[in-house]
Order: sequence, then structure tokens, then C-alpha cells
Amino acid sequence: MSCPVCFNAAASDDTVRHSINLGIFVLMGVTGVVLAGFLRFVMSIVRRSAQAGLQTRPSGAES
Amino acid sequence: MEIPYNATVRPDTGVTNQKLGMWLFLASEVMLFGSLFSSYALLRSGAMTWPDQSSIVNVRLASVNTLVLIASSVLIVRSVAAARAGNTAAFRRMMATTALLGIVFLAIKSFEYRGELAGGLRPSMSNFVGLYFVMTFLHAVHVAGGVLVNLFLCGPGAATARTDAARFTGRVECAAIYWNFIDVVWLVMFVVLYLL
Repeated sequence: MSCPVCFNAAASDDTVRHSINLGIFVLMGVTGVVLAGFLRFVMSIVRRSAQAGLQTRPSGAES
Repeated sequence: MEIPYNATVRPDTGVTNQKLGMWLFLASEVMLFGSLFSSYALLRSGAMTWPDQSSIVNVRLASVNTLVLIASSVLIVRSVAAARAGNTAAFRRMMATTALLGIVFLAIKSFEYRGELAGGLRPSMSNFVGLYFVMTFLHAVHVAGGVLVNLFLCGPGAATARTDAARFTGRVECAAIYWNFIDVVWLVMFVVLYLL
């Protein structure tokens, strides 16, 4: 399974599987942090938009 | 044509469009550097043997470079404060020193590269050396880009401080965000490539 040039011909598949998992987890961690930041940003936009809507709505308006 | 929310805060996002653009750019940068750190984790944990990194690279020079970048980050934060206060002379002085420290960083890095290349180190030698050159060079390119922006802001770009102070302050803040990001990336890189 493993490329002998990158991972040494003597490396077992278990070692390679472990290393690939670690690489994936690191990249998923970075991606997760970035996506969580986007999500928080979108949520803050929704909250701020709602607040701005309430402030600009004329008093006594029902909908 | 007036670009909306270039200098004033947009009510729904809570930031100016300048700053929003910078944060989106930095998100893409996080992914770029994150993929390299992921490659490092993959290759190191999969390797049968991994060299003693500190015996290959120059930890002493890298430590000096770390101090240089931290000092430059402190200075750029103070230059933002000076720009906000409208003290253009102090801003120019501190931003120029920040850019100078960036140039010192690049000079030390190139000196480090020279010693390593003269010692026969090549990216093709091993996975670690290949990653070391790719990651540190990519970071150095980012530092060089930041130095150019900082030099522009304390040079010809400072004229905007007189004509449009709010927009100018926004530009300085964006430059500071970028510079601090580059500093943080270096700190992680320093630990991963030099100390671990």
C-alpha cells in the first residue's frame, strides 16, 4: 500500500495507516477551526441583522 | 465611485470590508500552512527513522529570528495605536522599524540558508529537509510581502493619512493583522521544525 520512496520500503502498512490518519486529523482539525470561525461569523451576522431590523422597524409595526 | 464600508464599520458584519477581506484571506492562508503541517505530521509519524532536527538546522539563528519577529509584532501594534491617534510621525517611525526588523529576519534567514546549503543540505536529501526548506521559504516569501506593504504604508502610502485618515487607519490595521499572523505561523514553525 505504501510508496517505498516516501515511506521507506521496510515500513509496515500499519505504520503508514497510522501516519495517514494523523495527517488527516491534523488537516481536519485546521479545516474544522476555519469552518467553525466561518460558522460563528455567519451566526454573528444573523444576530446583528436581526438587531438592526428591530432597531429600524417603526414602533407599533406588527410584521 | 465610493466603495461602501471601506472605512466605516458595516452594521451586520461588525467590521469594515477591508478587515473582512483580510480575515477571509488569512482563512485561506491557514489552510495553506495547515496542509503543510499536516504533511509534516503524516511524513514524520510514518517514517521509520527521523533525524535529530536540532542537529541539522541552526536553532540559535532561528531563536534570534523569533525574537526579531516578536519585537516587530510589538512595534506594529504600537504603530497602529499611533495611526489611530493621528500621530503620523510616530507611526512612520515605528512602521519603518517594523519593516526593518522584517528585513533583518530575511537577512538572518538567508544567512542560515547559505550555511545549510554550503554544508551540503538539499531538499532532496530527506523528507524533513524537504519540508524544512518548503515551509520556511514559503514563510519567508510571506514576510517579504509584508515588508513591502509595511514600507509602502510608512512611505508613499502615508499620504493617505492626510486625505482620508479613517481609510488609512484601516489599512494599517489590516497590515498589522497580517503581520501578527505571519508571526504566529513562525512561532508554530519554530517549535515544529527546530525544537521537536
